[in-house]
Amino acid sequence: MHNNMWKSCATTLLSFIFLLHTAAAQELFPLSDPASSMPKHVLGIRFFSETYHEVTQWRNMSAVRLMYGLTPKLTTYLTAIASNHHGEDFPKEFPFHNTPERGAIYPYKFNGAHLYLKYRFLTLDGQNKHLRVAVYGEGAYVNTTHHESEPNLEMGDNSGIGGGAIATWLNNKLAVSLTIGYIKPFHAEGYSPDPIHSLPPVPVDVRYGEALHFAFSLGYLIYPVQYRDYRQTNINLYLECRGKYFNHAEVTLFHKQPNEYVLSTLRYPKALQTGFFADISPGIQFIVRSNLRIDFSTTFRMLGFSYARLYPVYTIGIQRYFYFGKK
Amino acid sequence: MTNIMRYLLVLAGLFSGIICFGQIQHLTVGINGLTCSQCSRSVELQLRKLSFIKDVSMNLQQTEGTLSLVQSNTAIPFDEIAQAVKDAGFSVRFLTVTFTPETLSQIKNKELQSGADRFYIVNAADTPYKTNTFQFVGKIYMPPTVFKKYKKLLPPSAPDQSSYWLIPSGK
Repeated sequence: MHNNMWKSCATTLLSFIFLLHTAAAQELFPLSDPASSMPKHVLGIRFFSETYHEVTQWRNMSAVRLMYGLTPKLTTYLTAIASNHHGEDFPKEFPFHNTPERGAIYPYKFNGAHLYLKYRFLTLDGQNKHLRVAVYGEGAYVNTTHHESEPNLEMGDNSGIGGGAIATWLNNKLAVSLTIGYIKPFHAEGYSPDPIHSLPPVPVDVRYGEALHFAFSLGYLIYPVQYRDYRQTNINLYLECRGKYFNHAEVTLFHKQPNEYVLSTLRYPKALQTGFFADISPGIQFIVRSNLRIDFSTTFRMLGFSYARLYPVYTIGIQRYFYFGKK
Repeated sequence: MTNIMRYLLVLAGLFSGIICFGQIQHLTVGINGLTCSQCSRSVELQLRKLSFIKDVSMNLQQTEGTLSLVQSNTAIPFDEIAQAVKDAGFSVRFLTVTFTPETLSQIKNKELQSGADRFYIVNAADTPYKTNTFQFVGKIYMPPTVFKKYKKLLPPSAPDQSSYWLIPSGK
């Protein structure tokens, strides 16, 4: 199984390298943000959604993002996130059993919001090429509980803050982007239903692990071979490798009660322990009339394991810019 | 050309609307950092916001835009073109102005009046010029490395508002 996975990854990578010699590059990655910023005073709207199959149902996290170019170098995103992935409470007997929880039914609900600010501070532009470096900060507030140590702000798994740097290099046929980031998740308080129905639910406090994450993204244009006008639909292929190292969580049971205790990490299930994973996500993108952007990508496991999702993860994104004051 | 004559020429241009000493055919702006049609469209739409721009035609292959101007005798803020490119998130590789061929004969002492704008031509042999396309010289009109090369050719005093330094374009 693993051999097949490596073979498919290697084949994809080799095909990609070959195609880089025949096409122009693109940096509008489906899953990662490039260092480039949005045009000043332009509004963008993006809908994106992440879906995977879990036992007998499909888990889905969907988001609507408003994007705005505050200045030519400063871009902000405000995202509202909804999903059937999270509940208000922790699972029954958390964290000893049901972690990670598989197959539980959660109604589709609004999780919270995510705010992102990116500042491009280095711009070295040439004809059909550039090197750009940006820093970003992000924050998320969600009103749901998350059952694994791995934090994720963008899709609203956790409340927390984060920041990082993005470097994007583009030279004719090659677009490469590297993102390095840090996430400091906030703790979550909630209740875990006691298995003995007559007893009250157990108050739980979880301090999720801090995380370092990276994304290494490549992109190229396969159609059109030669630009003629804006009406040509652009087709871009992408390959993104994203990974995360996260610290173990800290779980307190009977939180703020006389019998409160912090659970030893030795008793944690793997999903709450320190971990690392790296995924690979091939993707395809269509840009219609040089504005409407439609992305599809699928994420496969490469190294380690993300307990917060099940593989493969299917992602779709639809995005459009709105220009004001044009003639 | 004396200062009084210059002044009279500007006045004539402003009030008559008929006497124009230099006619601009079009402008061309080269854009750096541009690689996709969506980016090119963003630049075009930023340029179209400018009130003095009549039309924009982008060349996606060459990453250049050809701009036609609204007919007017008022000063054209050429720096706003560079700013619009910057606002779209890109850099200006060059900005050129193409005059009507008959304008060349009206360049006197390397100076030219067009509407309310005055152009000074630097780094050029005496007339006749071999081209009617001239490139703007200035920090905002070219990459820093290119500007560094031309900086030493510019007179120590900066041109007045609505005055611009040009060099004959090699394009």
